[in-house]
Amino acid sequence: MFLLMLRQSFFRGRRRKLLATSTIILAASLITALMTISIDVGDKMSREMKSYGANLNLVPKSENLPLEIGGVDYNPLKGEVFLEEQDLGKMKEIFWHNNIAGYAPFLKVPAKLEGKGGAAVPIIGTYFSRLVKFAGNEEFRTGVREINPFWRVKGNWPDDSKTDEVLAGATLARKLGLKVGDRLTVRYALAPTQPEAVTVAGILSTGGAEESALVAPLALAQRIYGHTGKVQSVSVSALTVPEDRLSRKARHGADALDSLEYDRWYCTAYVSSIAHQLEEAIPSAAARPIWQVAASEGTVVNKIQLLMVVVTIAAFIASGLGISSLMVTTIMERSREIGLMKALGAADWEVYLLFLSESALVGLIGGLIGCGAGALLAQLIGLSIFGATVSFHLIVIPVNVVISILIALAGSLVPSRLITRLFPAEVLHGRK
Amino acid sequence: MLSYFVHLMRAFLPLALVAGLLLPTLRCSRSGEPGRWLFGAPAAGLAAGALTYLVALKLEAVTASRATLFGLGLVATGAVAALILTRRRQEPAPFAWWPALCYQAALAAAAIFSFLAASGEEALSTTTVLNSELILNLGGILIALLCSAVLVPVAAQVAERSPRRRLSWGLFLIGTLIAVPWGADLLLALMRLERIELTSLRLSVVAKVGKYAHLAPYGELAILVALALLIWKGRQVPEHAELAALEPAPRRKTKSLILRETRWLKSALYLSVVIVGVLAFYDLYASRPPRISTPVRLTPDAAGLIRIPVAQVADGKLHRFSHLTDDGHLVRFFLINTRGAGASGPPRVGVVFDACMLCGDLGYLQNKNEIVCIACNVRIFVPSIGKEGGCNPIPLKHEANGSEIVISARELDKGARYFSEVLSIKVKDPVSGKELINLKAPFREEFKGRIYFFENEKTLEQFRATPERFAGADPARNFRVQGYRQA
Repeated sequence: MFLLMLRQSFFRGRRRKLLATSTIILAASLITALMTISIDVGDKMSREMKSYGANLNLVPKSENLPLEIGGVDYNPLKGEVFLEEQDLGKMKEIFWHNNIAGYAPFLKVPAKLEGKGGAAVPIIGTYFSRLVKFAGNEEFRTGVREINPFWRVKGNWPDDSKTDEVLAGATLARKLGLKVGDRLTVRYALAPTQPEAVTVAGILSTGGAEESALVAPLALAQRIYGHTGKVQSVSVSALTVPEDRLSRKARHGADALDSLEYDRWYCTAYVSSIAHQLEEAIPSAAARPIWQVAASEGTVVNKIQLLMVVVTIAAFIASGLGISSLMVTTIMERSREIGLMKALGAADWEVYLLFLSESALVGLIGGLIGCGAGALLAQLIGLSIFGATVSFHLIVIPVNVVISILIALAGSLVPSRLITRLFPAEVLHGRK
Repeated sequence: MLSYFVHLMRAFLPLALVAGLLLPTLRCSRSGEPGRWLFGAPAAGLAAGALTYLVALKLEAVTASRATLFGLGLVATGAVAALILTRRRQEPAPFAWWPALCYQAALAAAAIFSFLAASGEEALSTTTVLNSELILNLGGILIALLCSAVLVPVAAQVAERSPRRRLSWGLFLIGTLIAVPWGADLLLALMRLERIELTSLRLSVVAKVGKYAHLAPYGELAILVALALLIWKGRQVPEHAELAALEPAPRRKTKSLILRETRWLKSALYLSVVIVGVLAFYDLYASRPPRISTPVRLTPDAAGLIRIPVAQVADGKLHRFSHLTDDGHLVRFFLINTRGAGASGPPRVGVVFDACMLCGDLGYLQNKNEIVCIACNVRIFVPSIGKEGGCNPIPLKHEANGSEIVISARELDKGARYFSEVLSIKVKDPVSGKELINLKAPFREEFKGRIYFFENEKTLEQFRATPERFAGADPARNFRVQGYRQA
């Protein structure tokens, strides 16, 4: 019976319902768009926090001093302080040494080519895949091939023990027209030194800064630079446990923990406690976990999130008011019908239920259409902010539908109190 | 999402049921202004409980405040029970009103307190940015709140249609189901805070109640379902002929009443079934920790050696075995090719106990290519298995002679105390030589980490006097607290 009445009343006053639906569509599409972007980044961040592996970056302590002003690095020691290559073995002596899955040192050398117009090419020295020996005759294979399995090489990987083979980054190779097997002569760019002859063993694609450089065995880079046994930074790949409450607390520094918590934190393979232990093992180094998503997209998203809250509240109020005025008109128009229902024995709440479910239905439809429109809008915003499309998460739909229904209900709640004030006798006689 | 739903449902189910079942009684016992106070009491209780939890967390006195809260709740329960029992036959007097309200407030306070304490272990979200996990968790909370809210009118309808006596019994049973875990918790807290003496009887009562406390919600819902079914069975539905004989207006009225009653009873049934289903799914499946694969039991040959062909374990999978020591300890160990399946070169097999020096003997699990320590959820770097340190499995001394891995039972026996699982086997009294069942032996004595069993006190005393004579010259077993021992 109730459903029958609802169906009949729903198809009346279509123009007004259309108006109400479009108000909600507008509000819902705005909220959907912002929420889609926010959730996309939020999910990526939470996946990163919950992953079992993490990368740490080890740099000399003085380089870690924040001396960046307006995006320009004023650190006078930039590129001039080094870590000792021989110290790196100490990383396998920390408590969680078994969780260090691999590491690769890096040394970036400004160099230029002899010939080809003396083009400046940075040379990045690293381990490709090298057997490292530790105390106790332990062997350990490490290098960029172990920690970056997604690096792709067309051609061959160079041999770490030779010092005349390099990889050319894909961008650089395109710019200079380098091919596998080309012979090059490189030398240090800032001072006249002995030039070195090298062969391009392969073309490297990484998706990072390495693509516009020559990647060489560490020993070769050190020889060109004239700093034997030095490295600038180390990428460490560690097996970790997902972040939780304790590790978030520890992020404010180890002092924030009491002694019991400190013990638990130290003896759990959180990325932060491994970083702490690496710093203990190599006192001249500072270790920082690299949260890739958190660093790049996190800051923008915080602002988007604030915007979303403001827009949601504004949309809530605006469309609530719109619906409210539409509802008043409806009740006034249909007052005779309400009077008749009451005269036939309907309780107040039954009349309420009819009107509220009607507007909830309007909210549902508006919310669903708004979701579709908002998903498109999100792609536009994503393209203009991040330069990439945003994947749509299904979870947005129920949240948005609930919000839309709430808007519709909130808008109709106040006017529907008019229903109680209608007396059957008065409205049926037309006296009110 | 599921865990939040379950925590909230468990916490609020007693409140919703009791509030609903008491509603009709309270409503008719106090005419005029029925609504406000009935909701005021639980609301005040919720606020008080939440505040208590926050203060307790700040002062690090969660145990003490939980005990106080449950103690107060028990007092309120007692007061209500006394009033109901003494004045069974009369209409509830106005003064029965206040204890009932206090009881609801106490239930509400306990509900919010236990929900906050249970979910305090988990994080609502891993980041501050809005994400799916956060929304799902909030959704779980909202759905559980909705279910509890719907339960109140449903229970009230059931109560309205139940006879007084049956309703009192139902309430009494539900009250018992709520009060018993409270009492056990209070007892435990008093023992922990050293207010009363710790005895083995008290402790075993607490442990038994604690073990079965998670079944209470099922019982409470079963009582609601039982009340609904009893109404269903006892009600008199007029026949078609009877209905047809009525005047149109009374007939429609009767029909509508029957329809309404059927709907309420059905919704009580469906709601209970859904909640029980979700709780059972969580208890039986979702909340279970991951299980290790069943180890293959190996027995050493006459020379006390276990031989495992390398080819059998070279496939890169975790191969778990077990060995039973002569005092009944089950020692688990596993072998894995640390080079992985497709690697070049001969397999390098890591031979390790299935226990961690830090985390104990929960064991390790293979999840696709990863070996995970179940206790602390850390992934183990496979090439390092067989080396000591960190959360690595404890290395087991063995010999590899090309095609076979040879493990001596003596080495396995040394690691027996890393494991806590003890099976029932036949053992011998080392003094008299009489056969006993290890778990049923009247006397036992530990020496060098091994357990010896005795038939009577006399042989025990003899053993105590000169243990070396009976125990043999095997080296002592290792304990986890000793850390890694050099061979």
